[in-house]
Amino acid sequence: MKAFFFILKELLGQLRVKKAAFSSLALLAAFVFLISFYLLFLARSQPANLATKESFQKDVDIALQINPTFSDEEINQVYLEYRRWEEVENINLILAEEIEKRNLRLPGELNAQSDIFLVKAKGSAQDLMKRFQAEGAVTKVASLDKVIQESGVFRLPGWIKSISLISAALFALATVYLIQITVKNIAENWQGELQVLRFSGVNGVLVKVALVTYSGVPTTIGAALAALVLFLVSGWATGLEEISTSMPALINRSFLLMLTVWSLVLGPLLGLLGGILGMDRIDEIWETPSYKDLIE
Amino acid sequence: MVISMAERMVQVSELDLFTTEDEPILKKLSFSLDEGELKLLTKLDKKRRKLILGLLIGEIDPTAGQILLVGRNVVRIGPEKKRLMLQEDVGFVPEDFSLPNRKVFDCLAFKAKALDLSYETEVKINETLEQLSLRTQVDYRTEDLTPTGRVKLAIGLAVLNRPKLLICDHLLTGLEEDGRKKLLYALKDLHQRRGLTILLAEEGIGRISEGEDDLPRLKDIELEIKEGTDGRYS
Repeated sequence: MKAFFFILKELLGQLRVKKAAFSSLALLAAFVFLISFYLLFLARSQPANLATKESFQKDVDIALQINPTFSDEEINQVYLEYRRWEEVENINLILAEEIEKRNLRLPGELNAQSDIFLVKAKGSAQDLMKRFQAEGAVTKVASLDKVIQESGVFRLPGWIKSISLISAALFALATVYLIQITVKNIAENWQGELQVLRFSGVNGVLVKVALVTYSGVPTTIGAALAALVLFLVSGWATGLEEISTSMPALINRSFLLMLTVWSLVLGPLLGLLGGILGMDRIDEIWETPSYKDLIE
Repeated sequence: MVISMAERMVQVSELDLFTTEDEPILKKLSFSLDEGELKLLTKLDKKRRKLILGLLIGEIDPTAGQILLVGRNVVRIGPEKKRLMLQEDVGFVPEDFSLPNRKVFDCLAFKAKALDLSYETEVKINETLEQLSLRTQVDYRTEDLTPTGRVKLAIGLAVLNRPKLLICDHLLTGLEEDGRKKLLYALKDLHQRRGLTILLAEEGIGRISEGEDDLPRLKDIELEIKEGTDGRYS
């Protein structure tokens, strides 16, 4: 095993001068970043709007923020009272806990810390809003039509998604190819070293495993870099309301962690794949001179 | 120091080797080499020479027969033990050897580290450089070495960990007269100072330098090989 670590250390020492390895690293970082970005825009990964066409609650017109000082009993009384109004066709209570749990997106003027009523008007929603605004139990009133128009979730057009996916696939292929070329180049440059190792009785499997492990190193670093970039973008987006509204997944920590894990699995795998694909040249060099061929 | 007749270093007995299609290539092959001897394996065509060397270094398994190497029957030991034995006891330089693209010292250090020879690494490297007269070229990159210097370094790499047996495949023939002489002196020095058993495999002795009084007479060191009559090449 000492031979394995020695060979790996020697190979890693070559990273300084192996530009192809660095190119592949940069490509992979870009690739993973692209894929990750693409995933950020997937609808299923984004928090639901409180009320839009693809909303948590469909077919509602108005959102009411209930006075946060009200007790559960008072809220219940208000709810029953509003249900009796002729202008109200339907009303639902959404608890603040549920808003937080589901990470629901609210119209800008509403506070996520309070319970909310979602109301469907029987007649004019504008008239009903005016009546609610006069109510002491309601601190804020928001029109959901306005929310839909002003801050509907930004969706990438299908063709951009397709191009992103194709680009990512091409980047992945380029990365695997570059790693494969890098491993083959190392084998070419290491003909002497490989022969010394072979005729010194070093186990060939250890040498190959070290080379494959080495091929996974730049891609792992690339994947880690991509994850780091995502976290940095996330931190930056959190402070910018417009970005956090249109790209809500950016501030979803659990989603980012999932992406990080995914990157850190995919990164080494891509490198290992490239390394394994370059193994034929290593075998060829390792087996030269071949004595077994003489008896075939 | 020359070790006089001592233990058998190599004992090949009644060795058969068939192709994968069951055709005989070597039949009832026998020869031996004693500890401390310097012998020349010659008068064989390239294929048979390489087959015999391949058998000695464990790259090929014989169909039948016995190969005792440093007292152990390599035919019967498993691949891992064979590998370790090769690592410890046998140094081999192939015909078309490749050298690491490094400085002379770094090449030797590479092997020392790969084999974890940390104990006395410097001592072993310096001793090898000294005995092969490579001291003045220690900072040369391998690509800048003369052909003789390259062969010497290849031998240095093979003997760095002080094996008991050194096998060289066809190293002399490609060199100029002067280079061959220098190499023979270096090998003689290794042989005498370390008591190293050396087997040189060459196609023919006609092209190897003769006539130096202090060099072994090549016809005197020719290895005697016995072979059965039903082998393809017999």
